[in-house]
Amino acid sequence: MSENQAESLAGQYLTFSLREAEYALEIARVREVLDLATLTKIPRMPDFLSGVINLRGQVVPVLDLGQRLGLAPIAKTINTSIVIVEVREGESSLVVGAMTDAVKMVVDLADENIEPVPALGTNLKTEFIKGMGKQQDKFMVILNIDKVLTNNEE
Amino acid sequence: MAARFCESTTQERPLMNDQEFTNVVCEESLELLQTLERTVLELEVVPTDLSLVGKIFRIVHTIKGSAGMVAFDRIRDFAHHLETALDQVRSGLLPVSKPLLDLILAAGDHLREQFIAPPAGNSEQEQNSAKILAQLAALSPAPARSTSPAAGGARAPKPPAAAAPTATAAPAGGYHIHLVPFPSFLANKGAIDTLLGELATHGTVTLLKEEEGPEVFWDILLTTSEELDAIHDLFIFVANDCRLTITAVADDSASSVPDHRRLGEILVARGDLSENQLHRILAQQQPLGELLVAEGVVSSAKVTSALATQKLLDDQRQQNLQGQPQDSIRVSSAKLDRQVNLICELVVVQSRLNQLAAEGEVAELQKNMQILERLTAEIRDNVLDLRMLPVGTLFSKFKRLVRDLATELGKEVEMVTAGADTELDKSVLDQLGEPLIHLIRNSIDHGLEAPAERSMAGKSTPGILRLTATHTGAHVVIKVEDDGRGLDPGKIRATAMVKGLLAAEQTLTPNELFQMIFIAGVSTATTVTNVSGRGVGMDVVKTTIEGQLRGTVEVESKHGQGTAVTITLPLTLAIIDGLLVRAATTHFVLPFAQIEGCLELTNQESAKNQQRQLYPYKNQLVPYVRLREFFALPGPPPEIEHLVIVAFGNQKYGFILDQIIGSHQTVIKSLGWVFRQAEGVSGATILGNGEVALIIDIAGVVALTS
Repeated sequence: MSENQAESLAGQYLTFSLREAEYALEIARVREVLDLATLTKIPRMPDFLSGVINLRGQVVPVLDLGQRLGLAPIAKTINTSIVIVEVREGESSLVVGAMTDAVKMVVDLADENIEPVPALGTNLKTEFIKGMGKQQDKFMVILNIDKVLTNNEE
Repeated sequence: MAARFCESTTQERPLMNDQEFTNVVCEESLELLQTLERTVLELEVVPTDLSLVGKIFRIVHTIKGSAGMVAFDRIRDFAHHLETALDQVRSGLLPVSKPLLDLILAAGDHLREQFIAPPAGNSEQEQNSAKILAQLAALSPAPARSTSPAAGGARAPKPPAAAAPTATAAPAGGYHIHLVPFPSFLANKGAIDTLLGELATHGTVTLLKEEEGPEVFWDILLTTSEELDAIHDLFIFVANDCRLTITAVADDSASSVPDHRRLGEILVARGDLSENQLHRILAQQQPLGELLVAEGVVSSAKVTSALATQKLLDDQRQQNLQGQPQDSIRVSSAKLDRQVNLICELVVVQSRLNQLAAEGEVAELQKNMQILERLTAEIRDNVLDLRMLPVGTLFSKFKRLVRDLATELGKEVEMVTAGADTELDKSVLDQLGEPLIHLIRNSIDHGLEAPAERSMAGKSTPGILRLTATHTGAHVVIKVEDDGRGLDPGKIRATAMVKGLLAAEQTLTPNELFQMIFIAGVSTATTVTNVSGRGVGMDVVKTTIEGQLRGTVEVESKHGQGTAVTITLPLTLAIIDGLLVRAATTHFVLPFAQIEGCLELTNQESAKNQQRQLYPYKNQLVPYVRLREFFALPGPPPEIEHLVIVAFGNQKYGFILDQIIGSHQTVIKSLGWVFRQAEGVSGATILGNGEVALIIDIAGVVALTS
């Protein structure tokens, strides 16, 4: 059950693909989008934590977003991109990179284009999802980026 | 910073709405309160030193004034009453005693709370304030005097009350007027009153009358900005009825600290003498004045008068000191942090340029890059140095804690410190306070015995609590020692087994057993006080020191003789000199200061010792770990590998890796909370070619592989 049903989710979103399906993140949290850079793996950490990159002098952690959501590990291609997002936990915020298969575009979603999380039909944990967005014929999963990263399973 | 001053009226003044100014007042007052606490503790050791009372008085007076300026009326009024009581102490009407000092400390605490909390106050604080003031009043022998500048006199032989120094404007000069009255002078009461009245309008007057004995004289000390001639004029009408000598009193001595005290301070700084010992010996000395009077060399009246002049000079010096320009300034930590960040980024860029220059082979460029590298390193060291503060600031805060704990627990404790000017990064210092407090509490509560038990054991009372700080290379070592009961290995074993942490068959060395006291819930205290005993404090000590501060804690103890806890901390958290190495395709950094040696290993040699994972090095068998194995790095190892030996606490440890690249100015980047549970890695750094290298957490690796 999505806890955000009372809030309006309308706004601008960045859409991207993870293993054939489409996802969306609110644009306000997206700092920038990078091409795949050299990743330094941090040993002895869960697989979905792919490592760290050097972002203009800052060490930024990068995760395989698909793997985190329970999908197969990423297969890197020329389209693989790292979306740098701002994640919030309580009062603090952190800059994290999320690896995606390809970044698509920025879309405007109005309230009537957003539907609540379906009870069945997704193999993702429902706390990671804020809702389903619809653009023309396509559906996209609107992710709750804070929960994706702060869910304490590590 | 604009400050608006309101005219004082009888009603409550409007609140200052210049928040910055109020903050400054609060900060400065809190600092003053720290000085007040220190001075009270000094006074406890030498209760006859009235200059310390004067110092305390002036602090309270300043606080009163500042509070008034920002309309903290409750604080101002409280300070006013405190000041009145202190004035009585100054004039000898109220003797210095432990209850009094306890009250002054309590008053200081109360003021501190008020400066930290918003000035609105609450009823609990008001009750507290009333209670303290009532207790103070109960101690005073006489109704409190008003604090208008004193124009009255005092009778010999008590030292006369000096008037509160006028705080502003023209530097006041002091005059000593020695007046020997003829009978005609004393007969003319009207003239005397007029004279005294006149004098009072020109400045502050201290009057000392000696009316008994063979010599009758008046000594008047006048602080005024008038010229000598003007003073002479005041006495025109009585000039015929007395013999008058007027001399200017000027401060031409370099320092207000008497020679013997300075000698003492040098000895203390060297560690040849403890502060307590110094104070004790000084207190034994009889004041010069007393000796002179006893010998009959000078009359006691003259001595008293001279003392009054001395006081006047001291006050003048004090004023002058306050008027002097500061030779240090306060800087906000946030500004320093920004500076450190900028330097870190500069180091990274400079390292990148260096690499480009080396590849480019343009001689001029390379030469200038070397100069740039040297400059950057110097700026880096300078900026990091700005954040360094002496450990002594922590040590003096502890004096109060030790005193209160000792009283509460019925123990006699003497705190000895050494190396107070050893410097540490401010952030390290901030985090060090809590662990040290825990250790001190433990020492006083469980380590040091009660006086009776100590004498039975043939130990001296009081018990010694020793805090020392020293530098060794890239580390600071802080030790908390006591000569109390020491740890009982047997008891620790028993407790550990009861808690299921230790099996009966396991044997541990004493050192390993002692490390168990850091586990939460392990405590051999037979009674739990509200101070300690639950076994929680040591846990905090270990996690703070090893986790947050990347240091180590070790315990040594002899049952019956005492315990010593040694804390080793890295000097800085921001930049370290590192050794850059490689294993597979990943680069790692080892802290340079901990490196003991490097060896080359062929495959056969390393295979030889594979079984035990121990390598013979300088007559020792050193445990080692393969970085490739530990970090699960892919690929086969090269033909020739390297073994780097590091020092870790008192032991040595080895790392086998592919290649040693060289030294590297390592700007430490935290990995963030995403990787907070990363094992064996304590941070990352950015190399000249843009790659990220991982900083090895030696303590972590050792813990995981032993």
